[in-house]
Amino acid sequence: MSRSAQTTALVLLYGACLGVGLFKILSGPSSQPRFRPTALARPSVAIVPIYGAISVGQDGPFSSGGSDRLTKRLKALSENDSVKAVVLRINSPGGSVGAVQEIYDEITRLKASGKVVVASMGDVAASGGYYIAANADRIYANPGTLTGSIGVIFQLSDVQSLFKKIGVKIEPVKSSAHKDIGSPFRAQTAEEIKILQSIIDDAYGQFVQAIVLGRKMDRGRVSALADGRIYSGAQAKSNGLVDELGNLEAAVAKAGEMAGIRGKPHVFYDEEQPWGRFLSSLSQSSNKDLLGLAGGRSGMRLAYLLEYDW
Amino acid sequence: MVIPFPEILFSPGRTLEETKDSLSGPAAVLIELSAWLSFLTGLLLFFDWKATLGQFIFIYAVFALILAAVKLLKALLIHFFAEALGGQGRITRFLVLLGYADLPLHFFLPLGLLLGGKSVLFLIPVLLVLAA
Repeated sequence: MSRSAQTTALVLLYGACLGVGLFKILSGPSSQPRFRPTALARPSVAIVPIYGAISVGQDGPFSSGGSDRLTKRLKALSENDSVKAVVLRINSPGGSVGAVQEIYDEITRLKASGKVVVASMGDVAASGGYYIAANADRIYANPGTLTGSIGVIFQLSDVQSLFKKIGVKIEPVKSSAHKDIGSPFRAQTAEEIKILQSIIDDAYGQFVQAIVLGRKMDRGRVSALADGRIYSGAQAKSNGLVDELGNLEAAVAKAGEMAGIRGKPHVFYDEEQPWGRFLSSLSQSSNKDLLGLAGGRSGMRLAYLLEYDW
Repeated sequence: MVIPFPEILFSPGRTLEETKDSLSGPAAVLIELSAWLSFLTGLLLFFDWKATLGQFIFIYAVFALILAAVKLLKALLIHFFAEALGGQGRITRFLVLLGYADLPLHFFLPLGLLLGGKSVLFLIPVLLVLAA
């Protein structure tokens, strides 16, 4: 073979390797849960991490996470016959109402598909974090977990005085009286406060109802507990908001037991791909997210969110 | 062809002679970009990581920028110390040489394909390259 032919063959071989390699990498989107053959072979318990503030979001090249990704993963688990139980590992102060409710609904479907769902709370599983946990068959918390904070919040800001100081005046042109309801550039009228309060009351009622249905608790009892306060894990256990005190291992063991898996269950983390996590870390700023969720930056949003210092 | 490097496998002496006479900046950049692509693809294959096209392009861009910055810094430092010790030479030419030095990274692609997700043997060439 001549020298140039050898070179051409080598270049072609390299091109083929690159093509095959790229195809292998790109053929399975990172948003899809990945199951190893070993995980498929026997009855398994999947651990689904739910960390940080929750909001509705789609996968993009520069972002991942959010309720879209999570619901997709839960759906994939519900369709996997080897997965007998799912442990939701929750460490979240909650998030936007829509996102939390989407996850709650997907958990309902997961349970309907015959899977056992157990929630394991980490440091915090408050507000929307508790909303999600409430739909589990069993809830585990650490004695010092912060939970509860059952309520809804609209965070409205009024920057009128600040703008006056710097000589800026915002003049909205609107089609109807309440089009700029919640605007940070003016104080809210009594009627607008009434409208916003009615929305909050409605969302609060949905929260209470979700707990009543998920926990099978008396509505009056839930309403009494749902005054927005936070509880420690131990307090939540004594008032019936959680079932057991224990860590993730205890939750996994219970999930296996409830699913009828004999012996030590095979456990795997249903996590994002490493690149997804890397991109999440680049795109995620929890403080900004929380500000956004609370309506401070990116508009008004109703949130089941535990407010804390940032 | 602009870069005769594939021929180094068949006739190393002759290829090195030819390369010595025609060292070029664009060729070095091409070699580096293709070597880094092979390295990144090989790593992803080995660890059996998946990515969307957008993610892959983004990661490659970040990866290339970091490697380029490290390479530049490395060249500057070596040039500085070499001159301080009485050496002579142009940093641009040294950068071109460093570009050619990335040639072995191309082997990560076939290795990643062969050993993808199967063996830790892949770490041996990684460690060798890092040590070098």
